[in-house]
Amino acid sequence: MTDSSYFKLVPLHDFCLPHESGVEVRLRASVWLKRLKNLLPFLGKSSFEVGHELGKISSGRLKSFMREEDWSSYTKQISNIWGQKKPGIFCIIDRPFSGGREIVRAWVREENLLEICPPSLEQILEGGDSWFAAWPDSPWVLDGLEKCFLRHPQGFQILRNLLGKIFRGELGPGLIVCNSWSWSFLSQMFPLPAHEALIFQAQSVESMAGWLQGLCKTSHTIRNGHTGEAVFRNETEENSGKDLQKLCLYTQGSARLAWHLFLDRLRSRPENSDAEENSSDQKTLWWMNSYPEISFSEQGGLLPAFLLNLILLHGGLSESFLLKALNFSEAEILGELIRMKSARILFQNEGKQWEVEPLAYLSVREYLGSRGFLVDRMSS
Amino acid sequence: MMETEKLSSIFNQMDIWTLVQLLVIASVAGLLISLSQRVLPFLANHLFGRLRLLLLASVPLARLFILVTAFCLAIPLIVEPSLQNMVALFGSIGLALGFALKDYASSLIAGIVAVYEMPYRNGDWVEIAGTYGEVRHVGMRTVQIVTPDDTVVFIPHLKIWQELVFNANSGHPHLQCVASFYLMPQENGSLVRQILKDVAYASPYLNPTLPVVVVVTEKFGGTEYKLKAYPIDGRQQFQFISDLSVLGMKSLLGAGLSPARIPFP
Repeated sequence: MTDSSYFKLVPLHDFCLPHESGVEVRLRASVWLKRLKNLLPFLGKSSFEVGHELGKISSGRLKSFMREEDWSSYTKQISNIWGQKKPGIFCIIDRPFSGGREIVRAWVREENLLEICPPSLEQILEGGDSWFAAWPDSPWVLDGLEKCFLRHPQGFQILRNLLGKIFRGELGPGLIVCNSWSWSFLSQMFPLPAHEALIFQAQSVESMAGWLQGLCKTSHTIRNGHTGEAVFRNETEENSGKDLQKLCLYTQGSARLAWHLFLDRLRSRPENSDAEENSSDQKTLWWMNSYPEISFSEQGGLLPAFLLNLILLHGGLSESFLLKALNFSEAEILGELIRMKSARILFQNEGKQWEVEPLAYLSVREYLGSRGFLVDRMSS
Repeated sequence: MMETEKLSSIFNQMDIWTLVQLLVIASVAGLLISLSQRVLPFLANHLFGRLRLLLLASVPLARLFILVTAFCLAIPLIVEPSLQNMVALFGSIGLALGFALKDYASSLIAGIVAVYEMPYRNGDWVEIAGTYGEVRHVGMRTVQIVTPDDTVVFIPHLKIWQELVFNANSGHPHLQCVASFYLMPQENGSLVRQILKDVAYASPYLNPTLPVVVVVTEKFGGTEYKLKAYPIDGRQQFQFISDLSVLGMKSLLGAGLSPARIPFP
């Protein structure tokens, strides 16, 4: 399998999620079972006890097992499309934690293109006149359309102005990257050119397994902590590779999400048992296929859902934006943010923007979807 | 004397075993009804959208099913189940109910019709005889509605024979909300519509997959703008309308638009 086959850029209408009917039904059943257990606590939680003697692997040790992905090896297809579409503008939709944004950023660095900074809160609220005034004449990249508006009565005019300029061809050649949550929301408001939009195809079961295996640089065998079956497919073991099938379907083919979950669930025997270093057990890493369970408090009423929806819609937001967008008091909003930070649902990045934790993302998506909120439509 | 003998021949001999069976049927039916009326709403209130409404709507259906089953099991124990006997028995009961408990019986029958026709289901937002609220319980004789002021109103089912029933969502999670704004007639209508649409999309309560519409009507003394949109959950309708009203008026005033000064209907 060549590198580019892991991350394929396809037209939006060709996008599809990984599919494996039998496994899918079991996964859906487990989601319903989880919901039922949350409703009826006396049923008890199915905590995994088999691997209690196994320890989490330190981040330093993990680095020796898995290499970091070099995203620049997937940029060629963007260069090809850029070459074909250069006089115009094209749009790439990015699903959270799919790896698409990392590839685009690597490509922007390679091409040395000019990146447009997102507008400030003041610029968004005044319609973006001063922001457009500083628009460059050279080819540009707008990495984050979701940062160029705010879900606020005065926060959409800038987008209307931007789309008008794009349709009139006033902005010159460029690339726009938009997250899938914003794209789904804005598609309801504006006639977005969906036929022009591209998206990185969701990983299939085979490609995700190949990609993850390619990142492993350890000689250790990785086995399921419950069943002892090999996590990566091999010829000698009949049931090998089933866990990655489930992981791929669970993460809906999002590579970086699978990567985060894969690392988080890896376990090993305690590191200090050096005497047995050469035994076969020490050559094995264990993978726990129980996915993280995030509990959402019902205390804050609708505010947690509003905050999470807004944060995912804008791909991360700072406090000033959140306070402007929501009609709640500062104390309520900050209190809820801190509560969700301690519950490992949110974190604050270096730019002081609140983002959803990668390991909590799927639970948050499920939480919002089950409450009727619009989630990113690219995934089921 | 002959008539009394005929009537008594309809009924079976009641021994202690028959009484025990009747008691067991009644107890099990009561227990099942009580369970279904607790468990189904409990589960439903932890769910959202269509699934919640489906579960809530199944409560009276489950009760009717249990009652009919219990009735079918109990009748052969009491009466010899021939056509002649049934006609005689139900004719007598019907006559008695028709004279003595006309309204009560009418409500009971309307309750069965309500379960079948579903003019209202648990979780629906309805207006009956001028009372608006959420249907909390469809009972045998009455429907319980909780008004926005948190007052429970018991309305006999027989109202469906005489009154109009306004159902805002009719088993769906989608419930349209309307916020009205009144502006001076000379204001730019296109600008107002644009502002109001942005207001709707800015509200976190909005379900953006459903249409947002602004209806404009010229009235004596000004222009009425009705902003129509759907909240994510019908239970949030009052917060949603408040949000639209507050944000809408703030945005309109911020854009320098003047509200109508003459009160009009």
